[in-house]
Amino acid sequence: MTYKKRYDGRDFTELRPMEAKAGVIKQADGSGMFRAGKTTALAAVYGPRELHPKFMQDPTKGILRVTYSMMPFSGAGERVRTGPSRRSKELSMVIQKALQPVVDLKDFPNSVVDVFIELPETDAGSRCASINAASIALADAGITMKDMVAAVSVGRVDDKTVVDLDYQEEAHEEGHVADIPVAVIPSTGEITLLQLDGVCEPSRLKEALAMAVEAAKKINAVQIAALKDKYKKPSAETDASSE
Amino acid sequence: MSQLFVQDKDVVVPGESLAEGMDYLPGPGSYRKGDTIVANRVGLVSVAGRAIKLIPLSGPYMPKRDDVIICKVTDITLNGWRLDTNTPSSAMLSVRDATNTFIVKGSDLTKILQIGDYLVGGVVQVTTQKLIDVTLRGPGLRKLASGQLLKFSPNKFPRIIGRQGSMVSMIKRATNCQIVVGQNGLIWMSGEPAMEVIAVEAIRFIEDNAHTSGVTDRVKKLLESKGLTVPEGEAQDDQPRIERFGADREERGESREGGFGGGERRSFDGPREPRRDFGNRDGGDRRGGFGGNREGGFNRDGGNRDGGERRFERRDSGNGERRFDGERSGGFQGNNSGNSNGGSRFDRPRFERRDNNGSSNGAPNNNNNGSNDNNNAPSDNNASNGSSSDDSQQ
Repeated sequence: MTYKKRYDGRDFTELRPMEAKAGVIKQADGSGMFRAGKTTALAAVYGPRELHPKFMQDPTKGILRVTYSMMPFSGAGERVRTGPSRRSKELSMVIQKALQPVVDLKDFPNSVVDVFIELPETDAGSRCASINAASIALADAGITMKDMVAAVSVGRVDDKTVVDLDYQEEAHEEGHVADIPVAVIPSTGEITLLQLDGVCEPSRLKEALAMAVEAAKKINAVQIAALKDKYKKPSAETDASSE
Repeated sequence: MSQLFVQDKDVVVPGESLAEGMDYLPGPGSYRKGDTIVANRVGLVSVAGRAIKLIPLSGPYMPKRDDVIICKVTDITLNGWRLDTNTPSSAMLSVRDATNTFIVKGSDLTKILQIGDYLVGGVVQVTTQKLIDVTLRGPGLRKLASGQLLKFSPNKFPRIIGRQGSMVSMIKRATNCQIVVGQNGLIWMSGEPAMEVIAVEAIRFIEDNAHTSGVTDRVKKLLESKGLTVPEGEAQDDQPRIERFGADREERGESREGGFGGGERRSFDGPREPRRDFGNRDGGDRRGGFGGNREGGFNRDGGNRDGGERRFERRDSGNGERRFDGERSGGFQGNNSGNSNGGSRFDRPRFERRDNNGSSNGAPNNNNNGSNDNNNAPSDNNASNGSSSDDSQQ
């Protein structure tokens, strides 16, 4: 079995069309939106703020707490029941572990930085979109970060190594599929999240990781543009409004 | 060879390279990674010679000594009140720092401040665990009456205040509203409802355009477009502040980065505090000791210092010698050689003055005041070290 052409016609190493925005949720301290194809993630950051319950407080630094949640009709299949599920708790944990290495919270002892991620629409790659949106939101909130984190899922469909799998590819039944979400620190190429779901040869894994690091740079460019766009001076508008 | 990748006033994001080479130094908001200087938050680039720093465009309030903040009372403890400061840090206002009058131990503290009251306080100190000690002793520091509360992003504070308080003064005079801007991201205002609405709009405008230039003129146009006249004339920097005597000017300058638009704390409307100097006073000679750079304030000559309104009590009780020379500079501890009192009184904030002839206590209480001070000394130490606040948080 060979995988000749991708379901949506993309190249094997082509990313889905992306869109990102910063500051989309006004009442949050920082917020971000990241969309890859049909998968949209909205992240809101609140904090640093007092952490309850008290036993979770760390007197040496603040903690990062992530809550991932898919909205009920976000997926193609059945309605997802509201409330935390085992999957969403696991994803909350891996996303938090993916963001932790870049964030510096030692100035906020006994505090928490809460990141809430909601997905109104998903088409695979939700944890990657979540990490991308959360990075934007944390930077927007003014949290000290040594760099941002960009994530993409690479993997294998049949005999091809592909970048940015969508739901159809993940559900491909005619051959082996491996879904490999990877989160990367763009400036150093360090990996902060690596999971594998499926069957994959070790050599292909290495190839896929190299592709992921490349793709992360493109994703990071979109994240940076979203943050800077927020502060672009609409000079023509300004003159008009001050008349 | 060193190279700068960005320009002044550029918006940069975390991870972005700012400069390369050992000639440049990483200031706040940036760090060195090998040969490169990298940004660690979203901010505006500010290059000052060799140092590159970032002016933050968002982010939480970092409490510093001498800051003026607006707080809400959330709890009453043995020693005072616990305050909510719109930050993750907990703040304490101790009874001692709340008022000039003498409070009997065990008296009902709700008579002074109740839960839910708002106040403008000064930050006395910030511990390593970011616990804040607040005081109400200082010009303009007080409990707040009715009015409106506004939240804003704390890093926009310098813009909202303006140079020497010019921006907020302009809004105050145009709208005739009382406005107090707290560095912790809260603004209290009180005035006619229609005027308050305009003032809020002006403040939101400054917030949204803080990263651009020419904001003062645009705010002026905005106010004028609402039909208000902006009176000309020098802006008065009448923000509430903490009184500090003999504080190290340099130290204060550094700690005031981003606050009060960089102006010197000079203008006084006349003497605020009558000087009652007992002990070793040489009349006018010692004036230099009280924050010597301050003009127009404490120009009192020796002799009877009865004139004027008594705003603060001075209970200079008999613990050791009164030293009013430059030794006091540099903060709370350690500079007062020869003071054999275990450092208790001089550990405390300088802006407190306590006279022997406290107006509410009258002359016969001299000795009582002295002994009270002695008795209170240990607990004072605890309060100012913040350890009692730790206890009361359990």
